[in-house]
Amino acid sequence: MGLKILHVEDDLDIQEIAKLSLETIGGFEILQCASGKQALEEAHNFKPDLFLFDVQMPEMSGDVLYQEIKVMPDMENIPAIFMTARAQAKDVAALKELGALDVVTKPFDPMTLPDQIREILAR
Amino acid sequence: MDNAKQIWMNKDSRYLLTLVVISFVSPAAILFIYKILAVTEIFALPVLPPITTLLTLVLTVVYLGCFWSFHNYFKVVHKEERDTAHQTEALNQHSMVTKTDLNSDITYANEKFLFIMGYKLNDLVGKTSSTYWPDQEEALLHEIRVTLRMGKKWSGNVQLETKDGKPVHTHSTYVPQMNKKGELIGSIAIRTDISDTKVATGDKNTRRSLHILRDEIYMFEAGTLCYTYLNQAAMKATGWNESNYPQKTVFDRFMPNGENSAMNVKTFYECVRPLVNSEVEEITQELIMGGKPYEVKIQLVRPDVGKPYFMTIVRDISERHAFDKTKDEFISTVSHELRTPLTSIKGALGLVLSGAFGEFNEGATKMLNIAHRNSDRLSLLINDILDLEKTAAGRMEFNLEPIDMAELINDSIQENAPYCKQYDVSMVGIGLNEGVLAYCDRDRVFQVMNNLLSNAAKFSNKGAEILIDLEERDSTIYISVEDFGMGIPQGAQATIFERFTQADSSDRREKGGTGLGLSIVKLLVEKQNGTIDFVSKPGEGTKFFFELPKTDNDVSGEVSDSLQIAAE
Repeated sequence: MGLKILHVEDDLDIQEIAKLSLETIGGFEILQCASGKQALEEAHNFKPDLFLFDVQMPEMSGDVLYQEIKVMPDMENIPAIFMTARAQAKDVAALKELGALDVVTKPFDPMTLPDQIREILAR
Repeated sequence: MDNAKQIWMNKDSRYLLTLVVISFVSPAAILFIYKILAVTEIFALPVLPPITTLLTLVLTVVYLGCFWSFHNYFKVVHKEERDTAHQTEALNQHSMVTKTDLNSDITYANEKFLFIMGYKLNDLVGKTSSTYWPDQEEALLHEIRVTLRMGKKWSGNVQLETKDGKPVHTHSTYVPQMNKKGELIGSIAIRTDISDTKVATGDKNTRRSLHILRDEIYMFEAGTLCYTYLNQAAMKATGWNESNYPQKTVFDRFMPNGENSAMNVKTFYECVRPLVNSEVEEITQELIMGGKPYEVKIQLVRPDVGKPYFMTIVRDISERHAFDKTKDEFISTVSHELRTPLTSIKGALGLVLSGAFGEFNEGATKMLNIAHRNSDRLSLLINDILDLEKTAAGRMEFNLEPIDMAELINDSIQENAPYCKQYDVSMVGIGLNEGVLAYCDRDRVFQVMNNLLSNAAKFSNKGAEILIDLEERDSTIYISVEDFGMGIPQGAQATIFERFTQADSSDRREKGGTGLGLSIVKLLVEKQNGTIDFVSKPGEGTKFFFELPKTDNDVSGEVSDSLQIAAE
């Protein structure tokens, strides 16, 4: 089995595309959640190797979710990559400040997303 | 005085009259003397008949009557002549007078006219009256000439130009000049110089407007730095009034960074040096005073008359700031909202086209490709619009530092190599020597290079080269990107840096791109204190070149930093 990715994305169409990209093309094992709340509930059982969070989400944004999830048991050392359409320099800097490995800008290319993730992790 | 009387007045007529009178009264005089001699009987003269006594008396009375009336008449005529001379002198003292002939050539100009206009009589006589008319007033001159030709007079305000090109405002009356037969032979123009009144009125009106402006206006003399004028808003802000602000200097209002350090004459002149040297027309800076943002502009005014003075305009820009913030948020939100559905469209099309779900027939593949290509365009467009908006509004941050240009250019060549390969175009660098430093933001110049290189590739012919030249100049670094492709048509050259412009609107579809690239490039270069331009020949190619400063020579930045308004 490949890398286990916890993917949190509120837009179901994007979820679908990311699933194809990460599972079918990338060969990763993924768990998808539509909200931060759901992710907080399921993270412990899934035991992910990587967080892939959308930033702009209703109720709980990706950065808040990351701050909450990393204080949970066994979660503090799991790397996080954010996906956002709002990728201005200062937004990216703020996310990196928070501990993100990197930020993937939307729209992303589903054909190259897995490679992009591997490259970020390899750094 | 009417014309008939004028004819009587001339000397010849007067002489003739005198002769007539004398010849008329002479017989009377001779008779009179004869009578006296006859009465005294000194000579033995025959006594004339008594009728001659009567005749003598009548003639004498007529003579005395004539003498008296002519005497009176000549007295009046002389007085009128003297008055006319006085009037002419007064006119010459007050007015600028010129005469022109039928061809509008100058035949006469009085002293006053010559003095004010700075001409000598010889400069003007025989020349056309357009000589002292400014070009922009030509229509008015034409109107006056037409009016005169119709035999009518013309009155109104006219602006003339002195020999050294300075404007003279006049109130003028033009009168057609006729000969005895009533034919037009020329015209006379009489003008009053109203320049001073005009300036004074203009100044007064300007001051009145300044006074009620919401912005704070401060004027202070460039020599003494004492305030000469504060408008209502400025007096309200400072608590000063007309009676005490003339005793205040700029240092009572303007402070350097930090309230503890005092600003002196030297530091002040350091600040405004670019204004004094006429390098810039105004210095603008944003400041926070008492928690509110203000925009401060300083100008140096050099009036034609009087001493030079500084004018400072202080504007409350809190509303603008609030608006900018809202706009920022709006744009950020829109960009997110647009990109989210686009992510799905692009992603889905990309996956389908990759063959992940099997092959489609030719028609369907073609349609899917169109959809995919256009989703790419939409995505680029959103990015470009955001970039442009941010740059234009000055919200794009520029991290200016010395950058090795050869290294940057090599990186951009490498970055664009795959793209150029698509078009079968190769890139050749010239003068890419290490150590050539420009003062700029690396990422932004990289963006400029990417744009110019991809444009050059797109518009090149297959197998062609793109030349990239790096040169070190006196105070700038020069970079050019030259292609040998189709060139920019003459008609499109003027607008090539404008938004949504491509030489041919069909280019946009064929060559990709949003039509915003070059306007972004221009803005980016200019925001880094650089310049950009191009030369292009249709059919031969295009060369874009830009220059960036070698060092941080943005003096206005330093100046504005050290000028700060003391908080209330």
